[in-house]
Amino acid sequence: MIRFAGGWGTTGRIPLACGWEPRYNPCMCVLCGALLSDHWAETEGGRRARADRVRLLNRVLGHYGLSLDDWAGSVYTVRDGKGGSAVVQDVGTLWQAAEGLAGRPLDPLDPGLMETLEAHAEG
Amino acid sequence: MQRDKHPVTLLTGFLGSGKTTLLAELLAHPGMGETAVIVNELGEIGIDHHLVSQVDERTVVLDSGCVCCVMRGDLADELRDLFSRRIRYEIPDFRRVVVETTGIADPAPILFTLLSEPVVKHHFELDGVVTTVDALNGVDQLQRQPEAAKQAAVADRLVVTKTDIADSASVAALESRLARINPTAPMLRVVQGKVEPETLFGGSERDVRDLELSPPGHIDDVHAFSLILDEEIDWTAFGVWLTMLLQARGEHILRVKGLLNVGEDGPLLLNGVQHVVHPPVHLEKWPDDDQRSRIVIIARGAGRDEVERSLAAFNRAAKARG
Repeated sequence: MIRFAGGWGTTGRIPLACGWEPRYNPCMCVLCGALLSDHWAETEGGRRARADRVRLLNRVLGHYGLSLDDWAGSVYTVRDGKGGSAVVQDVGTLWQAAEGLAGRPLDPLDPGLMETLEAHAEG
Repeated sequence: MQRDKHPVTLLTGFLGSGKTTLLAELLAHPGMGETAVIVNELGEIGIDHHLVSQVDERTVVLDSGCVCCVMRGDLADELRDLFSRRIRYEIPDFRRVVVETTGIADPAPILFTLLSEPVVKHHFELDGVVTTVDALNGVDQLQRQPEAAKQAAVADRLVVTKTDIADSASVAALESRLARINPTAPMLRVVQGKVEPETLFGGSERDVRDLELSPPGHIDDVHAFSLILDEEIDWTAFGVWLTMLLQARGEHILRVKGLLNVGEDGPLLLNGVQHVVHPPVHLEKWPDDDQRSRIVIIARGAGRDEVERSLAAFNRAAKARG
């Protein structure tokens, strides 16, 4: 579980003594002190892209008996069917948590997953 | 005031492949003033007018437990220290940084550090990876040493050394092997480190659509293949697909480079090394009329057909409504 402090998505420029002007107010993990910023796969498209991502992720994770919720546009909650869940910051950290819940590797080259997605696309 | 970021060049290559010779010659070049150098072993480079500092290999394993996503704490400390000493005027100003790795270093954690360490990534940017390969022993090392193959796979420039003392057949065999491992990197022969710095640093990207890829000799080998997609790529689907692929197969997907048609005026430039993906870059326009997406993947073990089918399945599932 990761807990966060700081405001998500806060805008503004904060010139620091070293000359660095962060483009946004960086968030900090209260446990490890690491500054967090957007994952490369989630920097484009805003809320609409996030909704599309959640829909596709549910199709992929559904193949493994998992589901995913968007929590206030900031983190995701991934759940199994037995009451287990994990909160993840972004799609980059999602897969490891999802593998832990599913109890098996999640592989996009899995023929069964590809058949599921192809069947969905064909309607 | 935001200064431009300092470009960092990673100089890597297997043991005895000529990294230090190349670096010493480069630093003697008049065009290489204001260069800070970070090395693992001091004393080999006969220079004193450059900023040279030493790092001890020290890695910090992150919670993910991933082999490539480890933070090189030593390097991060050194870069932060360089920056803070410069703004305090304790050291002369420097324009670029060259990091020379040990011969058996895995380059992925170094790239991960440059791209992800919060302070480092705001003051430094990766200019490129230069990999030296020895024409006498290179073919054998690429075959037997996984680190050597990975160093070649992540290169932006491949420097073939010792071509003056190797026979022409060995040089040709090595260049052929390197072209199969990493067709995205321009290759040049360098004797005794004599090279113009501008041929190694910065410069233009090789257009991945112009590459001619050879079929792999063995599927288990490190080899490159390309995907050419006529249909527009849904960027959201691509991000989901690639993050999942890198989680599942990241140890074996050494490099991903691509020019993607995501439905905008220009393409999106993608560049990743193992689990580490550079922030995508939007180009204003296509270089020519060919607006198909092309992705070059350098992998060990994964086959082109299954990767192509998987990406298409994700892309179409994202576009399907309901």
